[in-house]
Amino acid sequence: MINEQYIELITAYIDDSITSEQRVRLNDLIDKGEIDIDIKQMEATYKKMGQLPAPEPSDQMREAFYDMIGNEKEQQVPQKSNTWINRIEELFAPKKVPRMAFFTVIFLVGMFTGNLLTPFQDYQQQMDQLSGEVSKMRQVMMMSLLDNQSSSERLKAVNISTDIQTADKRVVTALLKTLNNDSNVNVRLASIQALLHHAENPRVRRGLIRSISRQTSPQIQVALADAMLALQETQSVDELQKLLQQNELDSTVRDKLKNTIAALS
Amino acid sequence: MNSTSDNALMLKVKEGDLDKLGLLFERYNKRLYHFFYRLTHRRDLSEDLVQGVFERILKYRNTYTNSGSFATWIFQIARNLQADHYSQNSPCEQADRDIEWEKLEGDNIIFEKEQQQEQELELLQQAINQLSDTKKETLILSRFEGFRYKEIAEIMGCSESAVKVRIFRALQELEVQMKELKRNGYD
Repeated sequence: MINEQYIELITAYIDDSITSEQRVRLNDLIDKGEIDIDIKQMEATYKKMGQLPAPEPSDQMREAFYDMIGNEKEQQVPQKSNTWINRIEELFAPKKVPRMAFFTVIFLVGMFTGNLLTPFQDYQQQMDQLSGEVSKMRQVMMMSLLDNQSSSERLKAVNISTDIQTADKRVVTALLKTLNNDSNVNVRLASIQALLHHAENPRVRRGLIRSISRQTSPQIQVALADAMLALQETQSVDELQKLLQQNELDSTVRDKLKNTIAALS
Repeated sequence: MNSTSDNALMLKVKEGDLDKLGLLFERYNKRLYHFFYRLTHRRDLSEDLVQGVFERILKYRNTYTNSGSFATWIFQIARNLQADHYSQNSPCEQADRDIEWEKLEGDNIIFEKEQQQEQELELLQQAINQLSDTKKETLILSRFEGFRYKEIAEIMGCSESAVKVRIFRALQELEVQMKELKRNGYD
């Protein structure tokens, strides 16, 4: 039976976490014959395990996951309101108060607080309406500026999109169109940053991935590789590899892509 | 905390931003699938178990405390789920792959290097399949998932030294099993 202290040394050796001090000690114990196990063979077996193949999951698994998220989101809203209503019901449950008196009191309190809060509600409604209008204005402004001849105006448009809280389909499509078709590199770079603000949207992530092999500018190629790394988007590996196969690729970009693929694989 | 770190994303999920779970799914689905596949050798079951992990995360998202690494937390869930599955189902449904000696020996000519490697890997896989679940899980978490011994101890709810002993014993057993399988195959 091997001493448990030696196991500590052997396992550190096997997973390559052994310190130089431990290595000296291990060699010493082997030389003295206190450890008579073929640790090289053990290490080889451990390393060989890395060559064992495993298949890739199917697309159905991804689809099932996103369906589950969709269903959960649908249930989220009614659940919240139910809880809220239940809590109020629990708070005001008329256990001891006679029913009629209870409802009369509730009616009077309702009228009183209703009158008291009307100005506040009006104010709140106005604020909501105003912020909704500002958001719509931003969208309209962004769309019209994106069609402008001047690249600085288009750059402004892309920057405006980062102030929009939740980008709808139109905004995302416009930004992706800019990324894929705009003639100016700076505008395209800014559109990547703008799209990253909305990275939780699967449409945005898919659009960014599809854009990789369409780009010819080294700056954009590197920026997209960085974006994939920041999002840990393993789905992008195929597109990055497609780009890597292009002969006329810049050598810096080539290195960058190789590093990104290695980090994501 | 980095806003795109696993822990930050999970906290967002806890707050109700369910889209962030999509990012975590993209980061972990393959790792979890391979973990389950290496334990069960069944594709359909492995996919169901991955789905099960994310179902549990959704269900119990409010209990997430951000007190340690997200990776160890999700693999704890994975491990529990797999154990629950086998406590409810018969373990005999596990795929059992026999070595196809005839196929590997080809036309009974001297083994080429490639064939030899393939044969060695088949043997190794067969030997791993014969390990106990605990040893197999420990080896998989260490070799394939790249967890340090301390993290494995956290996932498996045991001491770090117990993990090291399991790795050591598992590798010793693999050596013995492989020799045994080779001998049976050639006899």
